[in-house]
Amino acid sequence: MAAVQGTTVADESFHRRVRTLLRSAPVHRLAELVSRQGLEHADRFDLRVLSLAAIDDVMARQYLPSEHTYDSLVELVAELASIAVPEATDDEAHSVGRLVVDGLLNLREQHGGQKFDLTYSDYRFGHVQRHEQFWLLVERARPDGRIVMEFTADAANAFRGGLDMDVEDAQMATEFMLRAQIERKNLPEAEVTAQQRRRLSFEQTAEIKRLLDATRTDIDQVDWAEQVLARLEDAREQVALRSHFDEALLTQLAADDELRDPELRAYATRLVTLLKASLEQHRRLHGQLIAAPEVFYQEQQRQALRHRGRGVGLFATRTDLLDRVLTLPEVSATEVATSFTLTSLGSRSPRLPRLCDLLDSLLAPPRETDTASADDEWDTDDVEEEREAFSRDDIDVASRVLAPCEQQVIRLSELLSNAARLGAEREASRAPDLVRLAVLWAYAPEADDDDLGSVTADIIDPDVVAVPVRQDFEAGGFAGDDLLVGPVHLIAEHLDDADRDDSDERDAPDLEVAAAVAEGRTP
Amino acid sequence: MSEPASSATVSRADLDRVQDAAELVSFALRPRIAQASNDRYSELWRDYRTDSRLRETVEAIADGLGLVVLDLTEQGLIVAPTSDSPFAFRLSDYASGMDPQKRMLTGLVHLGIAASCYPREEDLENDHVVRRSINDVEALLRTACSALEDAGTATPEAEDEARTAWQAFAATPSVRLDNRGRPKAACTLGMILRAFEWLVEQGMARDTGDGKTFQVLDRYRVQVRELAGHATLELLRASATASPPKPAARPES
Repeated sequence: MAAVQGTTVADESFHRRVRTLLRSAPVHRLAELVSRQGLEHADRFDLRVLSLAAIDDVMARQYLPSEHTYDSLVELVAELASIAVPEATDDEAHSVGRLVVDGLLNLREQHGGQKFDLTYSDYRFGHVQRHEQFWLLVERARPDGRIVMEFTADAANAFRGGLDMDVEDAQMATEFMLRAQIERKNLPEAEVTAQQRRRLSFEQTAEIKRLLDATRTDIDQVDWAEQVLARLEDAREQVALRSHFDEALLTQLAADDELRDPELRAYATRLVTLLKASLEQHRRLHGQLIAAPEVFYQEQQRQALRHRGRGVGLFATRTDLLDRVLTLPEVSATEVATSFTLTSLGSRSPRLPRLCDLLDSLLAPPRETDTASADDEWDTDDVEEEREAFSRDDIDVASRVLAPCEQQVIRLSELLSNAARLGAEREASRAPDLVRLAVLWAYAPEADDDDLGSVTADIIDPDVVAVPVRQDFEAGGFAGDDLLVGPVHLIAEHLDDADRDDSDERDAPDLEVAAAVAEGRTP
Repeated sequence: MSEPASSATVSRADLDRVQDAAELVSFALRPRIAQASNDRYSELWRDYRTDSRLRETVEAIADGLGLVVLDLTEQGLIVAPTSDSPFAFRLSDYASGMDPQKRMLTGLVHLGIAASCYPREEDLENDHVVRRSINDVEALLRTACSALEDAGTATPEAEDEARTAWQAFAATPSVRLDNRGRPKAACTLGMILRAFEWLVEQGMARDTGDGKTFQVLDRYRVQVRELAGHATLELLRASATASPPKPAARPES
């Protein structure tokens, strides 16, 4: 023990440096993983530098209109990989891009984007094995719906290099340096300092967010009155100072004629961009801090009264729900699992007919494309035209509408109305047309199957057939004989049932077709 | 006919607020619209945060329509229907004519997606976007079934009446492809794909473009945390009270 005495291993600053060091471990792990990816030039890609470049560029663009998405970040890393190894194929470079981005999101090795979780020895109080949990990059949705890559406080901390300094103190130090560098016209250094200052701001933002998240998680776990309010008040003052600094420096840069010098102008422009982004970030954070007390009151009310299950406690979806439902007998599991389906899918908006439009539809002449006339000729040239006419959305909607026909018998009229409903949210949806064509194919498949790969044939299972019933329908711009659509064996059963109940004229299928189906012939 | 003396006059401002609140509820019912992508939604979203009277009016209108306000996130207002609401999701909206087993398997698949995205309590508190593929969810469900099999419960070959949910899932094929190479609805991967597609339809997830990997959004987390999980736990408790668990049947040697 004597040898340990006098070392810094038990110091708080040593502990902080260890934690910072751990946050770069995932980057080193990626460098090990690259050799197992079966890449031809694996040993020539520098995964550490590529990872840091990715993190740095995400940080530089955060909250700017050019924020990185997953795909754009993969593209950036792939491009850097191509520069390093020009003979690498595009596929190989993109594999490296995905490896880096997935690694930074912790999506590799079945971690599913959870926090990185590393253990380390803490000697401050004897010896304790501790866990360090952190994210580097995460994906987050912006208020306008864009999903972008975001730089976390942990990544900022790793970049700060384990400096043993409070975030606010570090910010003040960088501001002092920044002002001095600008006054000395040392703009290259000023740009670096401004980037460091942005990272510190991210770290501060994340700390505030952590505090607010803790409130949202469980209001009883935070000492709001004693600690949180004081911390937020302090942060509000600090952020106001940061914003004032941004504004003052921007004014100073705008007024400095010497910066119009061509040599300095490019640096000055980048510096102004960085300062504007910082100002935007500080204003945003200030807004959150102003609204923070409201978070407390809202959460107090919500957690006391609302649906988050205070009566039954919070839950782990895997062990408390899934594992328990899996062990239930089928009958009970059906009830519970169905309830989950219905309550997790949100709302649906009932669609009411607009009478004025309905009258117009009724008065309009019937469409010439009669749905299921056995006389319909279907030219494969038309199919080619149709393939181009249908969008990916149309194909997806039609596929989904037709999928249940693999297991059950559904009427064409119902399929068309489902297609119209699902397609209604898309502009100029042609999904109902596609469903109609696919059912037509099921009713009368082309003898020459060369065109089996056509879009209409592809979206309906080859085991699915269609037979007409003696009932007309008119819906959604289509009219004609209704068809039963489903797997052969179920259609045959359905026909047997209908045979037994001859009195039900409306549902009685065409007997000739029925006989063909029962014999396994194409009707 | 004279009005009662005590009746209060409704001011123009009150009517405007009711109209604003109704409009905000209407936006909330279109979950694929993010507030900042629509100027009017954005304005109402900001007002909702700061104007307590607007909040109360929104809650009253939602209540009258059979909706509850679950949360206000950066992307918008989240409402959910009560069970008897005209906005409530029905199984026939999902797929018509599902038999009980298909309903159960579909429910397990949805539970699998939730468990894959938010396995632990703390995961339900993170508002990050979660990336999951249909294979991730399939692997989680199959692993859970294998663990239960290893734990010594009955084999999947047991009689249908005695089967548990995991046995039914384990007996369902993992993948059957159609002509386009898409998993069919009759296999578990196909069910998972369709479940994700519904989440996309409901503004709770996005397709990353490969048709197999999805970005699951905050709206789904809120829905699971605030409503679906709670309702499921209640049913599980009721189920446990009604029929105490039987000892697991060991496979015959």
